[in-house]
Amino acid sequence: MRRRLPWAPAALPLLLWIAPLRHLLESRMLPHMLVELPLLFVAGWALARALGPRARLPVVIDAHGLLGLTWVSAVSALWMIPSMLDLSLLDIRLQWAKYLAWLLAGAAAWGSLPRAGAVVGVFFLGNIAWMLATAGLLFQEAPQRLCVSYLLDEQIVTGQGLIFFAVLIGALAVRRLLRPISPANACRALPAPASAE
Amino acid sequence: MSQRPLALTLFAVTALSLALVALSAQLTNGFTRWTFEALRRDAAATGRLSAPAVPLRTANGVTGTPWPSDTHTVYLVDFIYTQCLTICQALGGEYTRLQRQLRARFGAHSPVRLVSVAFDRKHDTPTELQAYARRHHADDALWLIGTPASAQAADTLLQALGVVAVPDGLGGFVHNGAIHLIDSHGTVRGIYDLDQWPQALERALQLTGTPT
Repeated sequence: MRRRLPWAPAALPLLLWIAPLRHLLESRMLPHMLVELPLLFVAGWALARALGPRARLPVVIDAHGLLGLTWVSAVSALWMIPSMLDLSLLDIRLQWAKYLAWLLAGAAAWGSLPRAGAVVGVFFLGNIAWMLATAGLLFQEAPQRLCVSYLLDEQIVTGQGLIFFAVLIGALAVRRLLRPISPANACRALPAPASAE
Repeated sequence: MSQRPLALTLFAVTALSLALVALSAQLTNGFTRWTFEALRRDAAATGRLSAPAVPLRTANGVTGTPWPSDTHTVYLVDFIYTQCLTICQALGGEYTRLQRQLRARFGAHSPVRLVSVAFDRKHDTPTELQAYARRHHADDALWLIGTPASAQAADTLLQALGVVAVPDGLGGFVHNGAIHLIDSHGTVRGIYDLDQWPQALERALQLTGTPT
């Protein structure tokens, strides 16, 4: 089924054109952060996979997947800032920027993660997991609402959800670290040999 | 892999990182404001927040926001809904105290006026507005209580000021319960928490040139 419909997940963001559905996702903090944003990420990933190698960044600026994974980290970090969630609901320019940034993050992850060796991959995944966990704890500990668009109890539940995602991504990082290194992976993971002089 | 792609990659990563740091700094006022409310208050403190003029429906008929005007009157504006049993009642109580002080000092010709904008248009009927005014002993000469005359007027005013009312699931709303200091041009000159009303009054009097 996955092979027959490679574009199907990529078309998921089109659902956001349906205003009641978009409102359903964005009117509460948990589905906004933990359903909509991951959905956009998955859609970007699927879109890049359907497009194939031409969706990858040129290797000349993305050695070891560094540029693509930097983008993924930056987008994740930016959308952990509480004001960004409010602004994306109140300013249509930021709303579109959010959709685009997360789609590109998914596409960048698809293109760059296979280029990253174990160390680089674990560094970025661990970094994102740590960031989500920190945000999750802050969301739970803050005595006041961090977003004017959401209630305090939603914020606490979302914080717990962020911790769940942090553990999930942390587990992926550990799995990647413990994965047996094939010769091909080893070549990618190790530093390039110095050229003969 | 040769050194050249790595050097180009590091250059691209550095450029992207710097751009994103600059963007983050811009969005958080130099990494000091992380919430929308904090940004909104910063915007008010630096005169970057303006309240548009919209028609208001009061218990006595339709009028407009008192701004803009040629007078040098300054307004202390709060946002309420009449069914609210918590913060809006507290705001009403503080406004009653403010009104008492203004009346004692200036009579009916105060350079500082009070405005309460009720945003729950469905329930904030003229009758409910009148009941709210009666409950808090509002004097028409000093305290204007009204609701935006149309849904569009409500959206225009609330969005411009960044006032967000979230349904609380119990038939009420959670909202920014702050006092907005607005000058005669409609520019917001400060946003104060409920318990900071003496500071809001002091600043309002300063803006009118009245000794505090």
